Amino acid sequence: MITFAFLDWLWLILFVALMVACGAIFYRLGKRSQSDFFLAGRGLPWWLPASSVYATHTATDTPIWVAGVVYKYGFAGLWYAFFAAWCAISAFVSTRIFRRSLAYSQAEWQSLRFGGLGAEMLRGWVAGWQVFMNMFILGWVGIAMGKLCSYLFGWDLWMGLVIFTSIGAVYVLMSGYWGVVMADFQQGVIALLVIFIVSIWGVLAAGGPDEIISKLKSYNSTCEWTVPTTIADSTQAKIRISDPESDKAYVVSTAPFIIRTGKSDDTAYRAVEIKTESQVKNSAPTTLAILFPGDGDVLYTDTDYTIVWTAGKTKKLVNIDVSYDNGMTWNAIDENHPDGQSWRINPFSFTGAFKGQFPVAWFVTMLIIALIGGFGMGTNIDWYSEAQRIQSAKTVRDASYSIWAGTALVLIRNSIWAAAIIGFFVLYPHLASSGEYEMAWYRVGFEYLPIGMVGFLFAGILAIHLSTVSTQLNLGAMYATRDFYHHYVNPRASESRLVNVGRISTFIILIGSFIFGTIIGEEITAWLIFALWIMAAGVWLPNILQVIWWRFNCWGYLSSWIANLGLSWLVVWILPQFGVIPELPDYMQFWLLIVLNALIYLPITFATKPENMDHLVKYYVMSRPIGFWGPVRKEAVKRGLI
Amino acid sequence: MIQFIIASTRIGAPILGVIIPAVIFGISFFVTWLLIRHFMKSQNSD
Amino acid sequence: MSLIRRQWTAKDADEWCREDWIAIVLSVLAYITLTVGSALSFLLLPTGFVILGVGILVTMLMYWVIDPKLRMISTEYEKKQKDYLQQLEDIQKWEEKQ
Repeated sequence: MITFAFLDWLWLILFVALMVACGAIFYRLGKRSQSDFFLAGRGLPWWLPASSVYATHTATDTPIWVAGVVYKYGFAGLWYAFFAAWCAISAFVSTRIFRRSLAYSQAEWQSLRFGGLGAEMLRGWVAGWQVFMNMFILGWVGIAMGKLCSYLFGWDLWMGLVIFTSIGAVYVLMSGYWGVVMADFQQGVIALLVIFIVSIWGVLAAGGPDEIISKLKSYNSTCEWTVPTTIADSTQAKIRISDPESDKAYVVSTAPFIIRTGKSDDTAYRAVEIKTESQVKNSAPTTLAILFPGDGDVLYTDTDYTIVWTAGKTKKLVNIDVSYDNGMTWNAIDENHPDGQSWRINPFSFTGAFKGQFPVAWFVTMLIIALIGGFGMGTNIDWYSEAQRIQSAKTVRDASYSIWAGTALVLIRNSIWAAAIIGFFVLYPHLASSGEYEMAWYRVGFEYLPIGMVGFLFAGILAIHLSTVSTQLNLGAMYATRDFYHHYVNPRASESRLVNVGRISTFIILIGSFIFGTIIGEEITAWLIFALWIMAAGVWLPNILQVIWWRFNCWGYLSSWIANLGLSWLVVWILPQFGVIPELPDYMQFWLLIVLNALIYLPITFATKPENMDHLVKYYVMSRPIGFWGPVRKEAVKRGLI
Repeated sequence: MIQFIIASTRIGAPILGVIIPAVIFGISFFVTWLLIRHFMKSQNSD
Repeated sequence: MSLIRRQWTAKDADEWCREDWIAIVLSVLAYITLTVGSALSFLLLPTGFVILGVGILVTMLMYWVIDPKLRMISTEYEKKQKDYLQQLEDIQKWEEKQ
């Protein structure tokens, strides 16, 4: 826990007041019309939506999961965050096409791209799903703030969730998107500077860049291991390090260690951690040996430990196995695991074509998903909030640059964090549990910054938090207002009525997020990764096809969504449980879902009629999409429209 | 969460706890003022 | 560079062409080099500075390639935006003219 001095409170209050005022002061602009409340009148220069892209995608949980992957995978962990690079292509393709459509939201775009009943069903479906996802994301980032406040101040979880999201809601309710984007700009400036400063501190705390590189070279090798729950009490076990190619053992534990069931007490676990830490940093051993666990060590089931062995005495990649029967049989802990620690500063530290913690196949899949996804709309969950920023830009050119620049900043931010996390690793190379090392970047800030900067750091964290919650509040309200209320309930509503409905929707989403936040528990990461990654996998290709292929119709697209809901559960949970398919790595699940889903929506597409040609021509002339639009273009030329 | 206490060393003089936040506050205040001026001016000229 | 077109008519700017593909490739390269370069530079590694420098150059090149085209697209589109906005509102209010 930390306590704030007077100076900390002063900075915190001043910063919060400034951030809220920056948003609220645009109240008169925000209330003028629906277009103002949700798109700031469609008149923003590129740098404003760009800063909003950057600020929105920096949330309180972001440094947590970035720290998690960089601590575990070194700079190669940056590629886990590289999915944002869908904007590389989107900035010049789907952004341009979407901006030309003028649709407020992706849901509205469905009714421009497709026609008739199917389009209306799609619009309703996408809008409903987005309102749900915005509430869910708000609850998720809100509870991340709740956890941080619990760690810092000892508050109950709900307090951090409710108080700070409510502060953001103040200026969103008043000024709508004008407030969001103006406050985002300011919060982006603050957040970028805070991230920069804290990361510098992180590198300095580890002794500076040269010291970090030199320590990584000298440290021994490590591998995380969670002791399985299936092991019987008092089992004796041994570790083996072997060559993945020849299967020849480099070294085996000289004496067994003991596995106990139950939970280790804190003192005992702390003692293990101190021992592990000293073994990682211990440069004395000159021969290859397993340094931890060793003779007499007691490990507990369902607990995370770090296996340590002497570095530099084997090939670059090793297999790590455990035996519970004195070496008669071996169970894999990890294969193609990197030896030593210098690999951490190589962003391309591949562990094999398909094996290990960073296979080439995963990297290629990530690149394809990220980059090729830029041809589509909605291939990445972030598209939905970017769409609002695209549409608020004053020209097509501004829209393109805003997406490109905002994402470039996001990627650079990740890299700055990553350098600080490497520094943190050098200080604490023995941490085995992600729950501990995920807090790395926050710990660097709160433990190493001078007193007096703690309140300011918390203000920076608040800036990060408010920029995300404000976006999600306004975005969810936009779907509820524009796509539900205005289109289906009251098409003739006045602008002031629409703004009021926008405010009511904002409030409902706020309350909904509190409910979601309180029911999201510790299992959040696993559930969310499933929801966002796998459920989006099956519709990745349809999201591209809807942009680039004239023949892809609303029934094909709608069926891809419905099929994906069922298929993702089947592939990830149900079929592996019944042994029909093995439990696959996530990137293989992605490819399997792509294929299975296509087997459903492609026949449905061809079995149903194409979209109405008049509708397609109108859409084509306005948006000028890329790809396979031959028949539509021919018709448009024939009609003298282009 | 974190079950143990890490001995930590704060880096940098305490005065930085006044200077750095003040500079960043000043920058963000200035930037906000520019933003408000820019948009209020352009709205008035519409 | 005759490879890269610098003058655009409104009609030509609306078509997808070589400059778009070059910009796309440069954009991807820029993101990769900026990511890797920033991380390595923060640890003051010389390779990092070189890669970051390449990233900045590639970004500038990308801008040089695509900006004239984007300007023409924007200028031309602005002329029609008011009509398109009206069409959008007609669809929104179920008043779309068939």
